[in-house]
Amino acid sequence: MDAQLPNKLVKLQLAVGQDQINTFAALAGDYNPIHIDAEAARQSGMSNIIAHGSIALNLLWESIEQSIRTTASPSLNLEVRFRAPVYVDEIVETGGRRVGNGHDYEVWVSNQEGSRVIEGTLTIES
Amino acid sequence: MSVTRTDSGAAAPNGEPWTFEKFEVGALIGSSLQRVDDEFIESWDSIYGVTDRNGSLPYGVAQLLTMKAYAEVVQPRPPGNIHATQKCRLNSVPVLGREMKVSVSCTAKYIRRNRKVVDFGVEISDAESGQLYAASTLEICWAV
Repeated sequence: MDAQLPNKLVKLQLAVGQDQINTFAALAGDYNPIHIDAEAARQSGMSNIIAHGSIALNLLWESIEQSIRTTASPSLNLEVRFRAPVYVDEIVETGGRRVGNGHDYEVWVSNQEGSRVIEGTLTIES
Repeated sequence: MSVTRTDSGAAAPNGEPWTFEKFEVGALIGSSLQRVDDEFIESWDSIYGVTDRNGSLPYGVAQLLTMKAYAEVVQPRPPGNIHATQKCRLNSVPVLGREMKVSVSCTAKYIRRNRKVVDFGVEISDAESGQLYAASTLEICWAV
């Protein structure tokens, strides 16, 4: 399977608008005001509404799935750190590169400024 | 709702917000039963775009069910918590229409750099067969 694994993961972009946040809030049952109300977000120390961290993390899962779906059934270990919030109307993009020739990847999600909001490692088990 | 919750988890002792002191390491906090349906897929696709999966669910459904169960079971939570890290082992993708049991436990709590930190273990398994789909650890900086 090693030779079939890609050296880079598929890059995906997502514009995180309020519509996406609202839809995700309904899916996750998480209506924390910091995801919906700008004033509530500011009272929590944020400069604006922030998206659920899982919106960006699930974009990374989408990237992983699109990258390996045809070559491997999932037996995966993903470890990530949430480094920064994603604000409403930001654009996030996934990235991932294989480390060496093994089953390990460095993975991340960046905002439009190029700052990583999520980063971590992925291991695809054979 | 697109993800159907059919059972509830535990409430915090005496209904007050969970505090760092109240968590018991090793204890099951609660679980919920969830089933993913077509409406879920429509909502998911409206965010991430339509992908032909031949009837299977997106890998990320495990992440979503993990967070949904955590949000349902660990109630009420104080404001100001920060989700710092997450580890997920995905064994297989949950199956459309199957009932899944999602269990939430406290696996550790500690002080790090003057912050209270609680680790939650979340397991997604088939409610009937017990097959384990995914196991995650959420590291949450707890506010109080």
